Amino acid sequence: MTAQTLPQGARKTARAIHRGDVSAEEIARAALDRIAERDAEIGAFTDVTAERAIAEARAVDSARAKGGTLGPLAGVPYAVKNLYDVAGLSTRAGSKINAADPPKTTDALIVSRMAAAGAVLTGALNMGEYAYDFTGENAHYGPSRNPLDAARMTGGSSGGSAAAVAAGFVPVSLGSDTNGSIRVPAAFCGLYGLKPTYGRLPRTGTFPFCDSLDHLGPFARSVDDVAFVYDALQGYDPSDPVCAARPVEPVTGEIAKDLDGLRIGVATGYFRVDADAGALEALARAADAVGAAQEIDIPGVAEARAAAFLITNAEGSALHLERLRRQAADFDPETRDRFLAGALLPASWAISAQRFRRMFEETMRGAFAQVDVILAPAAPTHAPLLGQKTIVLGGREVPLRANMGIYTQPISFVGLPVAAVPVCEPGQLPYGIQVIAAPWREDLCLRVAAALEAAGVDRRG
Amino acid sequence: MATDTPGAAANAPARETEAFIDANAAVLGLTIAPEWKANVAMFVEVARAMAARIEATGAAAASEAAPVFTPRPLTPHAPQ
Repeated sequence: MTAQTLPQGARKTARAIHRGDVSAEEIARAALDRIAERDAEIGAFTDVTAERAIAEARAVDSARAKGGTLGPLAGVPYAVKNLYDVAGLSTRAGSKINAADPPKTTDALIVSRMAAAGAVLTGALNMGEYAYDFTGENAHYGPSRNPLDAARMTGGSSGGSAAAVAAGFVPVSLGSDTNGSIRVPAAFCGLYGLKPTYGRLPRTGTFPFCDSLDHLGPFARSVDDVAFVYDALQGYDPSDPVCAARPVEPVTGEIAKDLDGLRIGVATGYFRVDADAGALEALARAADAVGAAQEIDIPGVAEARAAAFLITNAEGSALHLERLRRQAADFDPETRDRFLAGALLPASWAISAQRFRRMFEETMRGAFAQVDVILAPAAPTHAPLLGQKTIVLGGREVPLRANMGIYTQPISFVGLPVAAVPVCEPGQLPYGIQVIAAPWREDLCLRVAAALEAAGVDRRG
Repeated sequence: MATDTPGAAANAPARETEAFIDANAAVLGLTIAPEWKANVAMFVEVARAMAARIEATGAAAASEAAPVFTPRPLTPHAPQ
């Protein structure tokens, strides 16, 4: 096969390898070639694991040649945000400080699940320092650049994870999302993503940001590929103390179901105040596409966002307190001052914010008594320019970094599952929509996401 | 209103915030370079405004999401 005729997407690649239409090594080498040719321009990768990729691909080919059973993701190239442990690499977590740590001897748990499923790891991906970021910029490793327009941000903090998929280097990647770090970059780069329910995927072997809010999840260019990878990642493990002892609940067979009987609401109130015209048009188009007529105004969203902000600031800074004492000057200046401020906050502020979490959880229970799924914007605007510091929202100029997560933060605050869906007109930058469901209903998020995809809300062609 | 305008919602005089920063940093053993202080103060003021918003909800008297402990196999503790 030529580079032009190689299968595209994770499921199609795995199927072609299973059938013997193409070798896993050919697929891996093509991915490594794409990275070598173009990543200097994009800045998605901080580490390319070429030797490992070839070894894993050859193992797949060898197993097939011997008539062995191949995993569902056999030969699918992928890459992970560099806060995931990868054997042989230091886990940078976007920082200069952790880059000096010894290389890890084992993989993060869900990297080992990807390997067990036959996937081929091509490397570790750029990210905002310690995941405290919505831009994809990084003072140590340079920015990840948006493949749709290299002058623009990918969004963050899983910026490299989005860039690697949007640039076509790999069909799928793994990121993390504490306050929106999968959903915002998916929106800016025109991708699908999934932030599962808090407690669904074990985070063992990933460097934390804010433990009580941290989630892991995949990016891909189709809903089917998101579901395909997510199903391979599921499963309880007691090594993460908040991983829920639930059975694997596969979603691949659920996403093709029609929407009959599903009550789909559209978020109003807080979710529209500061959205720009494009974000509001994208939300309206998505609502029309799935016949979502009911508007839902959730009370207390601004407070939920404020509480998430405080918990993140306080918990994240507690994690880094010793680093802040010893090596504050080695932090990215964009995270350092926020971490320093967070380290100083009175305990009562953080504790009250945690207590508000129970109150807002009750509020969301009420919302899901009215509807099964809620549509909301993923970000108030499209991808800003790299280096941009402020943005005009709701007629006021506000700091950009602090405000890209205003719509995602209140949702992850109570751990709800969310699929990110791109909405785009030809020749324009994409906007992102959040498809939100009640806890453990990733199936509903992806079912509605698949309906939006099938309805063609992304009209880039 | 969803967005933040640092400082707009916080009524603390700059010197009050600066005194707060200096005192807490000393207790915690943090050194904050003079050129970082204005930015740190801005973030403290944003957090203060957020905290005021939460205080107004009465959350201080609500139940906390403390863990429920259940028996399970011993797993090694791996501090970061």
